[in-house]
Amino acid sequence: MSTSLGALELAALLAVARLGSDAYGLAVRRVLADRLGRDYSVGAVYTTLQRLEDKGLLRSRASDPLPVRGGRSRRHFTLTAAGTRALREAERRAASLWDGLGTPIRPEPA
Amino acid sequence: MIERLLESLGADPSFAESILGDLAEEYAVRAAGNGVIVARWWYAYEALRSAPHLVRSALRCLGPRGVARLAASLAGVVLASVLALLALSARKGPPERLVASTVVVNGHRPVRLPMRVLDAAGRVLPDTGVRYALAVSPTMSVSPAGEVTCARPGDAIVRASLGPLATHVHVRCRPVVDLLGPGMLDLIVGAPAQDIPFEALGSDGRAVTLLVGRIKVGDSAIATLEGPRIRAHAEGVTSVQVLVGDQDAFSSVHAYTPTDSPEAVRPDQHLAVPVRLTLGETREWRLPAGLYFLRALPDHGNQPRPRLAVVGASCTPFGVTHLECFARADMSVLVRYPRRTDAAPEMSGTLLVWRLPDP
Repeated sequence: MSTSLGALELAALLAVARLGSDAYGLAVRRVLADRLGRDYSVGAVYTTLQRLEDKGLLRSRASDPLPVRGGRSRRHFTLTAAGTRALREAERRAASLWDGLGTPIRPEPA
Repeated sequence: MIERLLESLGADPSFAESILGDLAEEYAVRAAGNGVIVARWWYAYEALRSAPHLVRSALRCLGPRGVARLAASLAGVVLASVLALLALSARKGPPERLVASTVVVNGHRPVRLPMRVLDAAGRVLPDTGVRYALAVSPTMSVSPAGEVTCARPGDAIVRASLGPLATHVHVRCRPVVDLLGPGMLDLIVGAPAQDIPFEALGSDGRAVTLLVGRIKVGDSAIATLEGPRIRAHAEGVTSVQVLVGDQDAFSSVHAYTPTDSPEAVRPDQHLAVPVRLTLGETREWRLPAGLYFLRALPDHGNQPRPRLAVVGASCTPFGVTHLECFARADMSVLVRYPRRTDAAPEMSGTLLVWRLPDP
């Protein structure tokens, strides 16, 4: 069964995959900012991560409380098997869209 | 506060902890790198732009009670924001301008110069702190607090200053020593408003024409002011007071009801009878016994005054315009347009009849 993903959801899943065991909200935000050049708000990132968790594509666990966070814990996210499949499916679909296009892409003559 | 807001939004406590932890962690990094103030602004901005996402997320998960709680929280936030904005907009800035207009002083008593202190947005500030000094004056003195005393007629310029701000006030001294009113003012109900005749005299006995003052009418059910003019609304007696400088003039005002004939006049009634006469014509009315004030006047000032005569009563002039008459029995009132070689063939005027209350 395929799960439809929005652009930010796909980007957040990829960021979690890239970060591995270090994937928590702030780190995901930084990856998105570095890779996409967009500064998503904390609220936007967390609601996306929570939605992905609700869809069963991510799971999370809380770390021990940390002084740097004012005694609050980090919430680490990891890909579930369904999340991994969803990423592969998204990659496959993107590849099929790219397939056959020469590089570099040239605009149509006017 | 944000923790309470997240809780009221129905956020999962661990979700709220994660968000707040991230905010705290990044705040610490920014505070170390850019300073606490920048970090605080970032924190507030971040919390603000996260709010729509959190609300949308909460709406997806909440039941009806949660939605109601969320709506109440949002209403509270909106109300607080509006109040904060109102408080900010109501806050006045420092003085930016001094505004004064030309001042006319008609009395000898000290008068405080009116001054408006405005901020950059044009809001009026208290004028305390404005200091005054005489720039040019042959005729008056001014205290540092802006109280002007006029000794004799003349013009002067006063400099007003507040810190680096300054302006000039033109003061025109025109002291009035006597104010003469009409004594008795007759109005006809329904007629256009008319001027209130009065004259202000200076210490040299000449008329003062540059005046600032107030006019007050005693009973607004009988007459009201229309600018400097007065109009009658109902029959009766009231008063008008003109105040200029230290002087005032008090006059009684009689409002007359228009009617075709005065013959059925009752005690304490004021009637106005229109009279149209050809040259040499006389009209006569019979009035019941009583005490009367009578007056005949032309409709236009350039017309001759009709002659007024009374038969069967004892009369004495009252002022220059009225006749005061007492009749033990019926009396006759006659109004005549006397023949004169230079007179117009016809005139129109009004006979005013005020029958006083019976004793």
